[in-house]
Amino acid sequence: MKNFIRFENVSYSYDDNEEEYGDGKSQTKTVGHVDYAVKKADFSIEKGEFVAIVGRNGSGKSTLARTMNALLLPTEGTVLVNGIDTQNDELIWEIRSRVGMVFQNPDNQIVGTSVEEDVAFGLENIGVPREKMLEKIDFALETVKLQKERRTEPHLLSGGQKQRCAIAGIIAMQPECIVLDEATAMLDPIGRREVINLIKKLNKENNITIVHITHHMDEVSQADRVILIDNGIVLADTTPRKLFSDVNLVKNAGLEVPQITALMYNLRQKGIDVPQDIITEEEGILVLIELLKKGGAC
Amino acid sequence: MPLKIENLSHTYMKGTPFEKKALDNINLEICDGEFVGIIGHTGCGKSTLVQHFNGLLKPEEGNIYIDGLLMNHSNIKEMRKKVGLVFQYPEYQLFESTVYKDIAFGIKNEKLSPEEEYNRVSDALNKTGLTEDILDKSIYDLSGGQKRRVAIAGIIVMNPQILVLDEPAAGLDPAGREEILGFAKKLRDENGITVILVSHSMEDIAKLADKVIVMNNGKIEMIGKPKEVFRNGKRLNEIGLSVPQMSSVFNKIGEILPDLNINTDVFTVEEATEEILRLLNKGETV
Amino acid sequence: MKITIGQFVPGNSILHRADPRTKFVLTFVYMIAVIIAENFVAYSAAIIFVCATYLCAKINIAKIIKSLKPLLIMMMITVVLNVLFYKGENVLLDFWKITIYKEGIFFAVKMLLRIVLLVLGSSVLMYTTTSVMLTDGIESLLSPLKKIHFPAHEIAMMMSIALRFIPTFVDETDRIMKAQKARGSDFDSKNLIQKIKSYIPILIPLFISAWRKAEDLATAMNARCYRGGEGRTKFKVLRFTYIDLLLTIITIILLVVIVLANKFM
Repeated sequence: MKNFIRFENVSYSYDDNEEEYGDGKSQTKTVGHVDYAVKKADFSIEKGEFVAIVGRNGSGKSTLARTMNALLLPTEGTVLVNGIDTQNDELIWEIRSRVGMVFQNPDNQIVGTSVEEDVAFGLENIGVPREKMLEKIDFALETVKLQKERRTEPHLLSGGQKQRCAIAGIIAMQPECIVLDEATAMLDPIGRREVINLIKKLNKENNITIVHITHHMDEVSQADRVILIDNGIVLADTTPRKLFSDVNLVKNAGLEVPQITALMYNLRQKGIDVPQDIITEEEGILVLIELLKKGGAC
Repeated sequence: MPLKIENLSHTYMKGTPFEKKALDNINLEICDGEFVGIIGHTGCGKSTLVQHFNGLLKPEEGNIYIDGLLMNHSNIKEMRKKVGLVFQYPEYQLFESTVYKDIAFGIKNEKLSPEEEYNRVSDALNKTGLTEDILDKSIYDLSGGQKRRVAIAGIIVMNPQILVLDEPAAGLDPAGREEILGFAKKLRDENGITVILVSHSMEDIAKLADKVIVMNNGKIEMIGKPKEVFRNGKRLNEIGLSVPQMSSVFNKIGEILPDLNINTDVFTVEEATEEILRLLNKGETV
Repeated sequence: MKITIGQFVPGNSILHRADPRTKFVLTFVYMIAVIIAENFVAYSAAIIFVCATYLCAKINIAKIIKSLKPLLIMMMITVVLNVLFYKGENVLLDFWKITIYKEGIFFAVKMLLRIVLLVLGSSVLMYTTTSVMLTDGIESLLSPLKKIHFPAHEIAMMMSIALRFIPTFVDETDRIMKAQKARGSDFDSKNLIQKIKSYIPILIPLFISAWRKAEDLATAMNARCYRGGEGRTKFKVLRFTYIDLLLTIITIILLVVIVLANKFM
């Protein structure tokens, strides 16, 4: 199904809603009389896509994410998940079991006293019979490669393992989409790599739609598509390659481009003819070698 | 205020089956006004090491000298003032009702006059790039980035000669990151404070540090200038670390075009741009 | 290894493997048996039972008795009070305003035995059952009360979450303490008021952190479709096995022996 998640003119304001999931970071901007954290978002996420959402701290990206599984309901506009309006109270659990969410702090989202118990938590909630549960838990733990740790207590896991455990808890429920709300922000480089490799695998092999919120630009280059948001407004909705080639736009939004892209930009500023849409190391090396050979440097 | 570590070892949970050697015979010297970067994957012992710098952990074996003085039980509180340690996510330790009170917490025992105290507090605040207008605010009205800076000001206010920052930019966006690291550099450049930065970002370390310490399994794996350390990309990869992207790119170009004489000690985009321009100019003049 | 009262001791004995619900109920039965025991034959039966239980659980009873030290003062007070104030018939000692009766001595010894037996016997439950099993057992035992709207599931869920977060909070306390020490906090002060004051910088951040964790966790549980106990299935099931049957029989024998001893001795 196309348009798996559809945003129709979505605005969100913390002022209007009693339910507040403020983490202290969600800054708001004034439009008229009401402070909106998200303003008139209008786009769709398609089945099987890997979308990165980027923006500075307080830009509204976490708020946007939380409207995707009805943790927050839009103040204005409509969010449709697989055609279901998130305002629909009766189908809210249906939506949440289709769209799983991994949060920023690995410590604050594990409920179980062991890895397998935590993976079971979601299944227990939706009333899966025990025999089926075991099967699903085995599958989930195998997918995230935590079989050996299945009886380990959560506080003994590394940061990357904790996030993989959280992902396993979602996979077990066989979702169609996983939203990662800055799930790599508190991890070290090894933990980040573990999580990124895992979500790439889930996207390619299990055809799970991934929405990854981050401000690590190297992770963005892995995505099919990137949405840049600032002050609650979607500034760009494009491919990572196209986004990074607009260095000024990225910088003005408080972010940075990968070093290799910045190098290309600098060289162009000096009047050297290099392509501006270079985002990976490998591409960059080829371009530079070509340039140096042509320039007669060797 | 040099810092010297001699044969330092530390074992966690000694005498239990969980025994783990966190530090294994560390020898180290840090000079006045140096900007030192410490890198290593999680659990390599870097946090244990920096907690020894200001006596939060007491050496099991080995000695720590600050300014030539051996740290011991009787002078540990004095020593602690000389070495300020900012933990990861320091904003989580704020507790006073206002920004001013929180920053002043560390100098309460110094019995300063109100003006002196105010000057110290506002000075510390300015050093972190914030202005006095937030002093009367509640800490809960600040943004995440501001809270972190207030927490760091709470250490700077004690006038430490050595400032240890453990992942000060963790969780911040690139702009916030730049700001925090920018004032760390300024503290060193303008106030002569020795700064020790623990970080996972090779780019940041390469850009800022005079000296890089690489930790692995409780030992010092490498120590030297950034260009000396980042030449060992292969070894760094083996121990779960990486090199700055520019360094990796230039090394690969050097391998493919060995006749080029490309300078591979390049870490920042600026250095890289210059090096490419230099090579191109050389080509034209030939 | 040191053992503290009530802390789980890992093992694989039949007591470790028994259903927590059985252990709960049998502990209760045992406590009744000890309380109704009247004479020394009955007490001997209970003593033998407790010793056998510890042997069976492969826990060193001598170490456990050592760990009872904190209770020593309470036991002493009980003994002294009973000896001094129990009124009997056979005077053993009459001194100044104090009269000590033979029955008083007997009664004091009985009380002492009773306390020790109760503590030793009931702590077997704690020594052989993980906290997770305990909460599961409690939930299962209380579940009939759900009919009268008793929040059995919620209580068990709260206990299990509390248990899950204990190590996290221990780490957090350590970290905050170190951070405040680095800011010049002094926790070594001898002055009590100073000491209490010095803990404020720890308690406030810890409380705020607990609050934040609770909020995050609630959101995460919500996102994972948690909506209370209704319609929920259980991953871990408790099963009544031959071990439980065996333990039940033995405990009932103890109860019977004690009742008979009370009657005929």
